[in-house]
Amino acid sequence: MLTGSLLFSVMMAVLAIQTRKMRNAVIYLCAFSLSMSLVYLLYHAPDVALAEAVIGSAISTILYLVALQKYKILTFFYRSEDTEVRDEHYQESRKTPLIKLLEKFSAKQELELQIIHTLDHYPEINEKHPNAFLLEEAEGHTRIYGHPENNLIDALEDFLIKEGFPKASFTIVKVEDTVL
Amino acid sequence: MRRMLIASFLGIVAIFFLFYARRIPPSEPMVMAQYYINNAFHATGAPNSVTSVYLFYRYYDTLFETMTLFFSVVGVVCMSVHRGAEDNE
Amino acid sequence: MIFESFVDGETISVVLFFIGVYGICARRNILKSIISIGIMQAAIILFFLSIKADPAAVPPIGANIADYARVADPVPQALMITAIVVGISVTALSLTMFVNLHHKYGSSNWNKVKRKRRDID
Repeated sequence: MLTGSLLFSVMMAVLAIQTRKMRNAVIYLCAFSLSMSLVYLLYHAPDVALAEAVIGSAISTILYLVALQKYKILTFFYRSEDTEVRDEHYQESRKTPLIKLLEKFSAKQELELQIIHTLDHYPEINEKHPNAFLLEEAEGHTRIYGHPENNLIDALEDFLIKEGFPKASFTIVKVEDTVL
Repeated sequence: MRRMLIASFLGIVAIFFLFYARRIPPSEPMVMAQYYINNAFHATGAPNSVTSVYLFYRYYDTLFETMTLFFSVVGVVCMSVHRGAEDNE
Repeated sequence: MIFESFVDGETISVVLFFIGVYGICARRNILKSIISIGIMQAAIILFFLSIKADPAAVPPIGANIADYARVADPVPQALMITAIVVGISVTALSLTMFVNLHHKYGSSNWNKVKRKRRDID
């Protein structure tokens, strides 16, 4: 029991440092704290175990998550014409090659990727979330809408071309405010 | 490359520490701990002797710990308020 | 088994401490540095709790613990509760400073932040 939780905590510490995604690192740190609290309990220190479980595992995880939320998040809205009719298919997260590329891009730009499935068009999204992008997929062609003042849009275009995403299958549309 | 260098250096230092710490001879019996264990209940009335150390024998420590927590909360509130004011401009 | 005898609180605490030092040295992300500080702090607490630990001891709780032959040491336990609370203060303050820094310089990388500071100064 003691040996197992000690080795588990070492594994969690290594994972928390080695993983690239910040949210996963925070969750690994939470698991690390929890297993450390079990170790303290097995070392005959129930008071310290209680304090660690409440403070180290719960409150500090909440603090990290709040800080991560304040930290920049890259938001992509995703609208697919093909699946619009079948509602239940929104729930399943499909890892298309484009989404894998976007994950790579956000890791390179030190941002956390967040993908939201939506039915709205770009004007409504831009009103609420000025820094977000919209991916629109229709008949095998992808359109990426974004605001031209967003400095990420050129970087995204360069990245997609450099990674060998077929040039003919996507268009980047820069929508000005005045057009709306 | 740089990470591998750092990792191997720290690994060597850690192995040195581990084998050095293994060679420390066992020290004297725990006189202070035995004193607290024998007398804590009669001196403070608390059945938990960790509590009696925390709140009776070492209460200055607890007091300054609370002060540290208080000042850190003050710091967090000050910085957050400053940031929010920037956002509103 | 030699491996079983080697895995105890003291050796694991040294290993965890050096994992934390590696995280501070090798990772350039500020949030990773804060996580590493948390890991180092947990390692130090584990060291203080497990040094001279006796598997046959009882926790130092109860009115009649003076009757037991082997009782865990209450002093490091009380001080480690203090250390946990101080650690959460350090984490909260450094996370707030990190959010401010990210707001100001737009990066969470030590080197990029340093470069931007040099450009501004």
